[in-house]
Amino acid sequence: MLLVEPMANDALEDNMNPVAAMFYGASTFLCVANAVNQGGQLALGAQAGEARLHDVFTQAGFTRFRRAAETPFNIVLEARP
Amino acid sequence: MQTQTAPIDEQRLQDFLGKAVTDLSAAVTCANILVGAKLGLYGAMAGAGPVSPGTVAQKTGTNERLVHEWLNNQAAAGYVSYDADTGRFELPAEHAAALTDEDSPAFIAGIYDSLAAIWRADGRLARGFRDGTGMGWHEHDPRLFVGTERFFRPGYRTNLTTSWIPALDGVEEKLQRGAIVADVGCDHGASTIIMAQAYPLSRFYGFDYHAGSIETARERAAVAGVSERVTFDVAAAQDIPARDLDLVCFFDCLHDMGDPVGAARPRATRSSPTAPCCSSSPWPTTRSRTT
Repeated sequence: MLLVEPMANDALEDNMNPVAAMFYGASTFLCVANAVNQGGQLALGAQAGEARLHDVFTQAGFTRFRRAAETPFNIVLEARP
Repeated sequence: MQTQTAPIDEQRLQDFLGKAVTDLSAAVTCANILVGAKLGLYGAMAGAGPVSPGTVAQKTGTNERLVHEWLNNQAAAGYVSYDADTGRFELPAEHAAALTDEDSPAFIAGIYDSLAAIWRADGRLARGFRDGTGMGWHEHDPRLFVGTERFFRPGYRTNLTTSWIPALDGVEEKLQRGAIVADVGCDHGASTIIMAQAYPLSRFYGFDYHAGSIETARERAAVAGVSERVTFDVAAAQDIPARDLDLVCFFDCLHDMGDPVGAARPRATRSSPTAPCCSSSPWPTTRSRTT
């Protein structure tokens, strides 16, 4: 499983920068708005961070999860059963 | 009940107003970028050296006075440089790469269509805040879909098959030998098509719940000449039919999904060695094709 997600730290206090502000801002209109629209209990949003994503894949039954690469805008995660 | 009024620190107030004006300036400048890009004003200036507003207007078939005012904004905002002695404006090569060159990893001008869609969504979203319906991706102005595609594509083109997939354990070899790949939440198929072009022996399936995006993805695949190995179908992540897969991808989309655990979960078992393998005609679609 290849998971590409926006670059983000796990906690808001570590995301006080323009890129995170852009993603949070877009997320209000787009990502969280869509997840809520689909009845989502867990609306991750565009600044979910690796820890929350790891948790999602653990719940989904994956046992291996790691950060394989990153760019200023993206984190690239690999999950295996 | 009386609220207590905190004493105002005049300097802090001025600092904040300065910040707010900076943001306002950026927002209005972004609207100018959108219209400038649409009209080809940046393209007319790229590589042209210092030019007058009249030259830009002539090259683009636009009104000179409007172009001049647009250039005034762009100069004050730092997007173009201005020479007061000659009255000419210049788009630096670095700015031109970011604003006009869709093949550049630095290309950023794709996003501005999305901003237009975001501004337009304020009424619907406010209702979604109040009644708890949020706002579905499909409800947005279609400019969002084009803007998102053009925003993410440069990063995928630069990184996906050159550094991201090679960083995965043994995946690149499989794709080179011939693998079956699902791209979940594929939008207009930018990521799917980039992978298909890089791995000609592999087969790719793109899914998105938004029918309009899937239709566009099919058109993009046809233009790219990869339609034979790339199939796009309408399906929500949790509804994708079972079959054996070598790789499942989520590009900048899992966090949008109402049930991300459910979206991830099926593939955890379907791609296991015990999962039933489909026939050689994988994922027959129940949806009649419109194209």
